[in-house]
Amino acid sequence: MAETPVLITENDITIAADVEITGGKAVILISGWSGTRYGPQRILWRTAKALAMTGYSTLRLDFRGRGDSPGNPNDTTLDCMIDDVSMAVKWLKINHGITDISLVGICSGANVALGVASLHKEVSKVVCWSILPFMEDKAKAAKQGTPRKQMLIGYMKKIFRIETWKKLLRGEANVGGAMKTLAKDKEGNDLEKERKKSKRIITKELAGYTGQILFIFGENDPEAAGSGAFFTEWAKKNKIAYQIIQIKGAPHNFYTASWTADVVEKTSMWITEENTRG
Amino acid sequence: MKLEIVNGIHTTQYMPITSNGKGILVIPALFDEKRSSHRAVATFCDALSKVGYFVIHADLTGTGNSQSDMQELKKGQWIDDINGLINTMEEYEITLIAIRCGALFAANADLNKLKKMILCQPIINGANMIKQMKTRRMVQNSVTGEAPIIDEYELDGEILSTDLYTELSEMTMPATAPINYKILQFSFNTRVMADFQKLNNMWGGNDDKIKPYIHEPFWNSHSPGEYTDLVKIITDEVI
Repeated sequence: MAETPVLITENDITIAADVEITGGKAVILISGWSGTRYGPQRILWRTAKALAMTGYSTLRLDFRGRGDSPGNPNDTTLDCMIDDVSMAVKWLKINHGITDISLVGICSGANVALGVASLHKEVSKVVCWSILPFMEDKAKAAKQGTPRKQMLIGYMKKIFRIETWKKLLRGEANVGGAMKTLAKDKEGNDLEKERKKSKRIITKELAGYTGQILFIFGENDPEAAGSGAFFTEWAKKNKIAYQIIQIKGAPHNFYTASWTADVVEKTSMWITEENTRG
Repeated sequence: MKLEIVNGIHTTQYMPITSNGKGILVIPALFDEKRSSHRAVATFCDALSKVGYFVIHADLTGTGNSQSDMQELKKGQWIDDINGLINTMEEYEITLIAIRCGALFAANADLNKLKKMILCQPIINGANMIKQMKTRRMVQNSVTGEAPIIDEYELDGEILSTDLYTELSEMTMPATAPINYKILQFSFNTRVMADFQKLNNMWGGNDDKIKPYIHEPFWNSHSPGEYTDLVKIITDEVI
């Protein structure tokens, strides 16, 4: 078996997807805010492949206005993305009779996954890779994340180490580009931040969620400490079964083959293992 | 638009409402640049179909949405992919648009059946590209934390087969221009113009063959937008 590309259409919205139907349970793989359905280092493609080998059906999709899907990128909001994944949930049910669905999302895709889980009770498991708090919870999460500040100070020290600059100058790296990338706000400009706000309070609507959530963070992701602390408190308060795994040494995007393989393996194992809710 | 597997390769095909009988084959950038530029490329593919072109945007084997893995690829696979795609478009007068490292492989394919090729900020030497990618990663490592474990043949988080890595590190642009061509520069990095000039001299082209567009590199990580400038540049160059 291999993936088949499909176009899923509902109410004049079309999304591009790749589907592999191998069993009665399915996993939908969700990219980040600006990403494609294969993900960085093809991590979403790799996870789909690993899950298909264990008998899970998989579906990877491009949000409207992203990847191959039609639409104006500037019109795509967090709520649109939740609608797009909801379309995929319905498509799997109508076309393949699949009602047991898990979601795997990276960065903003993880927020989308929680938004979808709050709407569709058939979502039994959610895996959130490098999730950031929802926009309305940013300030609170930042207060909980003192280690992030320490990590940023550590980053700054490393930036100004003489060896780093020697390496930079010896090589042919675009220094300006590298600094721009490092300084970039992951959430984008003000307009983009606005588009990332949901009209719903998803964390409230998800209270009492009976499925399970796995959070995976990179140990060296400066956002992880605050975000992890925030979602831990939220899950405990709302009696939601959750687990947190850290990938040793990894930053936000798990950029090596080894970190990527680790994330894929831990995700696949957690999804395929029997219900561990206590 | 439709999604179709052609010769085992994932393609996105943009169909014109009224065809002008001309086709465009787009060979994207590779590695992380492919992902970062995906939306920009999809946007100009769609725009070209609206002015009458049949456009194929392909994911070479082991990249993007295509099956397989770079670790499984044999020497010559990507060039075979490109040749195979050209053969499926025989009924059209074909223009090739190739981007970054995709341009390096495309220029080494069999392009005799094509009308012309447009190379967007092409990589002209595989070994130099590998060196730059490793330097960029070293900078990232320096800032992120302890240096991570990286495979000897790993580039941008993907492990290449020995065959593919060797092929890439030995690959350069062909000594003679395969067909009529245009080289487009799309970044603030003006240092590359000297390399493009050298390539143009080797291929015996006049100054019109290189066009420097000062433009934010669309293959670097960014939030997708409407790409109005890029669409206009590509459409003008194709037409």
